[in-house]
Amino acid sequence: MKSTLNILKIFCTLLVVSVGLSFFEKLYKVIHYVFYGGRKIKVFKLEIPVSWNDEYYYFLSLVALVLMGYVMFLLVEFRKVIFNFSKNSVFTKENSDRLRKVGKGLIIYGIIILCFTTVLGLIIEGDSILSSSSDPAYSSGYIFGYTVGASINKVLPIFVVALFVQFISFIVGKGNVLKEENDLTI
Amino acid sequence: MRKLKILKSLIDFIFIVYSFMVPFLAIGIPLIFFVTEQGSFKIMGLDFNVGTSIISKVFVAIFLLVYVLVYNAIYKFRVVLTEFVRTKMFSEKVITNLKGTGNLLLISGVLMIVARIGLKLTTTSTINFDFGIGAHYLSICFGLFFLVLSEVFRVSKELKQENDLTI
Repeated sequence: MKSTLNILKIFCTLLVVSVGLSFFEKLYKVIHYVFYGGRKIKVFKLEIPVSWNDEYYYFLSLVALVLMGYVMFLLVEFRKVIFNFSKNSVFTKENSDRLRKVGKGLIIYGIIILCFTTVLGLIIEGDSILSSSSDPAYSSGYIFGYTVGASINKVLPIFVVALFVQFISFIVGKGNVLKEENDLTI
Repeated sequence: MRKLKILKSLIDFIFIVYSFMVPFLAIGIPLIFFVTEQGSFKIMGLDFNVGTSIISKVFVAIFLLVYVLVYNAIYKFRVVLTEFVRTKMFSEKVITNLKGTGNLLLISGVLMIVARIGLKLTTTSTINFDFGIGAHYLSICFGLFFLVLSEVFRVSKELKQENDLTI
């Protein structure tokens, strides 16, 4: 278990570092755009149309950056739990609370991503297809179904991980009660 | 426990969707070796140009094999969740299947990296490593996490047995 935990610790640290690097890369690109112009970065994996006002782009970039920062915070919390595991303190209230926080955080993150990708997808991709379509009623139904499906596909793994982490927090909490009971028995 | 039922439903859904894909994979993996034309395709958001050489075909087959391994991992995870729903938290079945899921995810992550590097090398003659947030990287992380969890559950099982035996 020790060696597995040590590798997991390294991977968790690398994950935090890579999210951090990608956060600063995006931040740099947004700041670069503010001062020097150029190409807009993809927000929520969607290309922002050139015709859109810059204010919308700044707002969406800010939301994406805040969400990225939030994910980084959740990863740091998860990393702390893994570090606690390696110190042989598994069934503690602290770990249970941290894992619950990570689970809840991921659910919030998933919901926000789902809302933004659905709405933006409908506006950005819907506009371009509807304007060139000969049957708008048929196309709008297709676009709605496609966008909602694609958005759910993106966030489904996040919800699965979030619910699983929350369940593990429940198990760790139960284990903590068992351990306390065991320690109190003479 | 309500959340557990939601999680079980989500995993069931993913499992059913994957089940439709597996027969095509079973046919597709051997079929790759009989394809004589060059082609390009997209897997996990990556574009690949498949050459006619046997090595590039082997790497594509590895990539498709990863899907079968992930399907197996989902199946094992589903078994674990079924046990949880039956409130058998610390059974041997849970520990074995968690370990199996972890190992499968770990192997798929490593195979994904190998296939990706191999395909790039054979088609574009370049090697590049990235430690970004990719499917391969997350797969390794989750594999390790599942292995740790199997150990945690083993410890919990012993703890529970000790507790139950105490008068």
